[in-house]
Amino acid sequence: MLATTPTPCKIQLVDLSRELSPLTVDDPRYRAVGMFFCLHGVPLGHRYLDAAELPLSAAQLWNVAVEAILPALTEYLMRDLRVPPNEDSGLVQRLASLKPLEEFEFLVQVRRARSVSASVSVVICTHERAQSLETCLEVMQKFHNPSIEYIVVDNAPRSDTTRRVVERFPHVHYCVEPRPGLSRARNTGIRSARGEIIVFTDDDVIVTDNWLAELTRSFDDTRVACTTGLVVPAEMETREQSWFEHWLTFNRGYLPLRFDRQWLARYRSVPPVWQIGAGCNMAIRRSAFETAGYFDTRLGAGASGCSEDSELWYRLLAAGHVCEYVPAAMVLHRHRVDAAGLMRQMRMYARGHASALIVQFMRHGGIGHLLRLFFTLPAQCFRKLASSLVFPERRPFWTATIRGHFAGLFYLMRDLRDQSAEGLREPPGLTSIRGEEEKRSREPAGVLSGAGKHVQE
Amino acid sequence: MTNETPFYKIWIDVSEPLPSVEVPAGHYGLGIFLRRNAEPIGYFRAKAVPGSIFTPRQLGEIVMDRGARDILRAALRTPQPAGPAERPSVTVAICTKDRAWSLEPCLKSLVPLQFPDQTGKPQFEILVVDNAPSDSSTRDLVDSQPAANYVVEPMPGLDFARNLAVRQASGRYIAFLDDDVTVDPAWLSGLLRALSENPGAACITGPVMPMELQTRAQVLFEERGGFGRGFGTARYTQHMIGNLTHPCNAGMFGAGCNMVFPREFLFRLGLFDESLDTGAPLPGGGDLDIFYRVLRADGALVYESSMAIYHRHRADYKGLRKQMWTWGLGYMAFTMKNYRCDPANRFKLRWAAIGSFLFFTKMLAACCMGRWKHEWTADLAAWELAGAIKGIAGEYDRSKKRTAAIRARYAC
Repeated sequence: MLATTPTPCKIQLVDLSRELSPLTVDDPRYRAVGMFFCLHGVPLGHRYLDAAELPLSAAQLWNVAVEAILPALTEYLMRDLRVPPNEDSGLVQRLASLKPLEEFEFLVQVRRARSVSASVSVVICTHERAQSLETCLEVMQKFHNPSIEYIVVDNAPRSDTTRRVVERFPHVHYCVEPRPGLSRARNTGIRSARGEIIVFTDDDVIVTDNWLAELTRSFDDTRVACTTGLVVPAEMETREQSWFEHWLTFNRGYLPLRFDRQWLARYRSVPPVWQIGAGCNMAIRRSAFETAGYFDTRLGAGASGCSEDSELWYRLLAAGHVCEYVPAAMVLHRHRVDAAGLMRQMRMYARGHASALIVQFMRHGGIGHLLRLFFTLPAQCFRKLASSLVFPERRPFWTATIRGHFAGLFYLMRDLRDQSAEGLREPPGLTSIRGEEEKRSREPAGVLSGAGKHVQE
Repeated sequence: MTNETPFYKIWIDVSEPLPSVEVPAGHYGLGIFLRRNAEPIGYFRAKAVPGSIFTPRQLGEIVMDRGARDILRAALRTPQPAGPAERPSVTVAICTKDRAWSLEPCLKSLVPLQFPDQTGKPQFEILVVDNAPSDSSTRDLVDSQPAANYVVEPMPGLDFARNLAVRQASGRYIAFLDDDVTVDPAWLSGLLRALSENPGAACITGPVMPMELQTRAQVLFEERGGFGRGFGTARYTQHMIGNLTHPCNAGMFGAGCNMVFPREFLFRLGLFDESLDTGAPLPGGGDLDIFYRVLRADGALVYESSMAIYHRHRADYKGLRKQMWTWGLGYMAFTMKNYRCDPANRFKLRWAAIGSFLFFTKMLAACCMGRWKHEWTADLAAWELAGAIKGIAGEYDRSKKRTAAIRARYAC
């Protein structure tokens, strides 16, 4: 937990289905290299190496890769192998006779043969980050599929830079949410979207080849209301990016996970819903919003700070829906580069998490929320702060977290006072948003005509 | 507390149908050794009721539960390069002192590797270093072997003997084995594989599995981790991301009873530190020290899982106590030595020592409350902590004086 990666660190996706080449770092600037190992497009593990450990020959790199992917690969193959065989000692013998790489390729192909016949909309919410958005859209255009609707929601724009960027991409629709707040922008995105499945991503991510197909594939199971995917760092140029990745990662592991009501019931008082995924890489079935409600506008960036996604997952699970974590749907995320940005983000995250705990407690009960709020989290923060006695340069990170946490305790009170919240007790916005929908006309009206077709693989 | 809780050892070839196993009366568990294509790929223990019978299906469940990763790893690793590539010359050095009965099985396990076909010339040289012998039993044993050389090191101390072996050996690589081990039939091919994959390696270590699980002490020692470092292949350098005290926790790299070096690299390092591993007062720390220095000298240390040996752990409980004392003592003596000799790395050494003391204390406290995660006893934990305290309290300096006295005595 204390350790980090020396920076700048080069991030590499290594495809193990191809012949490996020896590993060297050409740019002497890099002090480390982070390798994310993929097999047939499915990420299976990662490993950071110091630049002084290089160069590695192909055989040495393969040994490193084997140790990195072994836990996930074993689990993938064992899940398939659980079928009881007729012979007695069959399992071990069968496992030993497997060609793991070929077998895994077969599993991947079986999964890819599943197809979803639902229309998909991709919603990207942005706020004054035109350059970052441009990169995001450019990469997305590379994997462009004409049957998919793309919507950029410009949140509380101060200039027209975002609009001008979006105009360069003819297949992307633009709409505005003048009131600040990521939750509001996402709710607007939902209203503007035509698809049955709505995919949310941020302006600072870079998508990969199979991302959209993998993220939407699980929806062929009608119980699944939400899927999330793996988020790996796009770059690790600065110390701050490495801190974020190591201490507050979006990486939820390399194994598919399934969250349902039983999972929720297992943690009676405070289910760790934030472990389900990350809001910058998720897909939600539109009909689920009808039953569970929309994003809580008091939470999320631009309001409390974050956790609008995990709070929604809680409601989805409580309503009996299923959430799935699909690591194969991988995106790369550009973490905050500079200290000021990271500290602000940490303050916001801690504040958002604290207020989300309060909201969840008011909505679902569970004394554990309060215990976490008043004991577990503060104790954790101060323990981390103690580590900055040894590493003084890390102190701002933890003080920002602590400040954010205590701000979160009071954030909702302010919100109650000025009465701007859209309902505290009922799922937010259900009635008000629907009422608004008739009034609002979608921003560029005509351009949506191509959307809503079926996605088929 | 009974002193006799033997485990029953079984070997399983994972590519063949599993056997049905009856646990003999008086045995309280199974030690399961997994093999594939004549190579060791995994080892673990499982508790069992004496006299019970494991059907192939039950055995399969245990193996799938504990050994699935090892089986897949063996399938994933690249097959060994076929054909006679250029063989590096190797000397196997065994340092011993008055333990001919123990040395004999060790030499016996090496001979089939040395002469794979009846006629050919030996694949490697065997060098037995007799350390301050009190009789001629070791010499007689070595003389009866087909091709083993014998030298005497009169100065008592394991690292005196090791250093003599380095000087006397003829091979490009020198492999150190203890006299209480036997090598696996695939040991040499494992070594050659590691050398072909890592031509520049400065040290190669491998797994050490138990030769016997006959007594409670031997089983307990394995519970504490033993010399086992798993069956993953790893390549260490002096940098490791994610480990703040690397490479000060030198115990994770392997064990001194199974290590191989290029001789030329040892000369460059200045050989083994003779003040560690001296026998009676400070019988440990020499292997930790050499691993640490290899890494600090920018060498690469490779842990090769198929270069496996079997070690005969101490059978009696008193011996185990002494072993734990030695671990604590040797580790701290090694830390103190390098705290002095390697000032650039003091920050890490200090935190490694603090971390170890916290660990020893935590282990002792948990054992007293009966809540340690493994089967372990409070007195063993206490002995380890006590050894660590003595080790940090100037044991290395005392040992240095003793070594100087030995040198002076034998110089004239």
